[in-house]
Amino acid sequence: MSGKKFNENSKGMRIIQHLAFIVLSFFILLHLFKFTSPPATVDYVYAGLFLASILPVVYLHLYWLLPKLRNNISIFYYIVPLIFLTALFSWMNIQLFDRWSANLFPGFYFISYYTWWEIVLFFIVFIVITTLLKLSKSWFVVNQLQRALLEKEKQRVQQELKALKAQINPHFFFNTLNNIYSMSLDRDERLPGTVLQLSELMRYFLYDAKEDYVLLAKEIQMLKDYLALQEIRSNEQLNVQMEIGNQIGQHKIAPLLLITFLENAFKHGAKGVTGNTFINLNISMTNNLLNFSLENNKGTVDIIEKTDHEGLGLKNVKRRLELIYPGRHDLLIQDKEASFLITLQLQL
Amino acid sequence: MITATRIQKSTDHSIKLNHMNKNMSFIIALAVLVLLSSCITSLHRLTTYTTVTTEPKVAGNWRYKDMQVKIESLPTSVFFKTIIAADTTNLPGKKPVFDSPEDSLLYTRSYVVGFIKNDYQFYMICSLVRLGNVLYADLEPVDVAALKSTTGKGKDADGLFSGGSYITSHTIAKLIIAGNEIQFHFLDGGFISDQLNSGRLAIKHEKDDLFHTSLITSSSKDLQQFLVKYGKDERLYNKENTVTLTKI
Repeated sequence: MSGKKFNENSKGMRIIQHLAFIVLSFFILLHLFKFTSPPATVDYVYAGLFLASILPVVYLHLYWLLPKLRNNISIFYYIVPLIFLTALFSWMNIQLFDRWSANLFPGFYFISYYTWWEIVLFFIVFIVITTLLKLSKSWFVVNQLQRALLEKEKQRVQQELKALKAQINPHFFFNTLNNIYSMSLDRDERLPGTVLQLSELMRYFLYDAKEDYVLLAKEIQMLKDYLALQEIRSNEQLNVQMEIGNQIGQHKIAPLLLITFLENAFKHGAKGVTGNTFINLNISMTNNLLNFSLENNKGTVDIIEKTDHEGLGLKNVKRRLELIYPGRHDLLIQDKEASFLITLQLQL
Repeated sequence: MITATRIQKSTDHSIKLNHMNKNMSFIIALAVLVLLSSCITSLHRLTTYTTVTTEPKVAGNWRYKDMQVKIESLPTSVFFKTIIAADTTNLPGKKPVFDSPEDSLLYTRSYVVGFIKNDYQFYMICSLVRLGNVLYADLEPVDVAALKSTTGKGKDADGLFSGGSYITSHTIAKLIIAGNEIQFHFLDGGFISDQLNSGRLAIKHEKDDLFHTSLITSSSKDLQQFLVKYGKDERLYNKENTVTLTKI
């Protein structure tokens, strides 16, 4: 419905633009041709006839010849008809003023006051001006289409990001709830503290993470909360080394980007490990560049089965990096003998 | 007395005569008005050196009412010979009679119309052009001389013909030669002025507030083009002022 309305408006606007151009041209010609001031009736007739002899060439050029150039035809097939049309209608202009108008307008007396070459120049000027107007109009249309396409692409990316973010929440919570479930089975006394930590994380996930960007400090705090949660679960088996640089400042980052790596470290490293689990986390800032590295030991399953390490979470984060930080990130996942090392450099 | 001593070419190959003052212009204008009342005047000549033509039938002695009119080829005319004779100077660097070959071409193919009216000798240069098989005449007053002195100091129309410069105007007529007659159908000044005033005629012009007429200022080329297109339109000619000369 709105599309139809838009088209109708567009057609109406086009007619108005053409009429405005014709009226403006008429008054310019009238000003050029007038013999008296203010112009006499005959001056209006003269300007009108002159314009009437130019318009067919102008419109034939705009709607017949010019579109031919789009089809990559030889310039010869454009120039020759254009010269022919200009010559023909210039001749007709002279005939109209020097002969035919005596019968068409018997009450008026006027002749062609311009030479054939001068009339040709008038035609050329009109053709050039209307071509430039057409091209500039086309440029605006292309520009508008580009903007519309960009807007649509932006909307599409937003939708995808929303979907990706939505994937993270249940993914994370299912993992954490699984942990809590395990603790409850063991009647672990730390369970209330764990639930409290979880509620902090949920607050971040449900409210702060709705924004496109959050403070990096907040994202790091969320990582700390998550680690605390995992430490409660893992007892002494978890050896976490965390180094956070002091240049974090007021930098902002897309929410829930880094948690995926940490979550992955626990999923693959801590799961099924009988010995000590280690996680080394380093976050620092160099100007606007975020340096993130995370190394964790491989879990038993990873060592034995050698399955595809890249789960849903990593695919998700990779896609989000491509969408939010195109050309501004460098993610490296190293599958070492006994550990995984993830390094991410991000231009914030 | 012949006061025109030299014929000078103007920028658009029309001519103007030197050494005639504004008073003389006035008298000539009056003479033209007497003979050719209700005619339209043009600043520029209808003919050009490339289009001027000759018609031997127009030369000779003619009668218009009680007036004798003599039409001669300009190079052999008494008028021209008098101009040449009047210039007795023989100084180095003396200028030729005509300013340019173009003027020479134009005038050697033109005619001089001479007539006497009210004790004044009038001279006009008449040049012909054929446009669309119709013969047109461009008439340009060039001299008037009093035949009788009223002051006893000379025959220069009571001292009105002392030096000065002015630009002559031209009168245009369609020429019809039939038997012993030549008809000059002059363009109707009244009709043309009416068309100009009502905004139905597009031609360069100036309003003449003195005589309440219009002066056409279009170029020779435009005048010719106009007559090619509208020359056969009888509304353009003033029938009441058609001058018919009868061969004597």
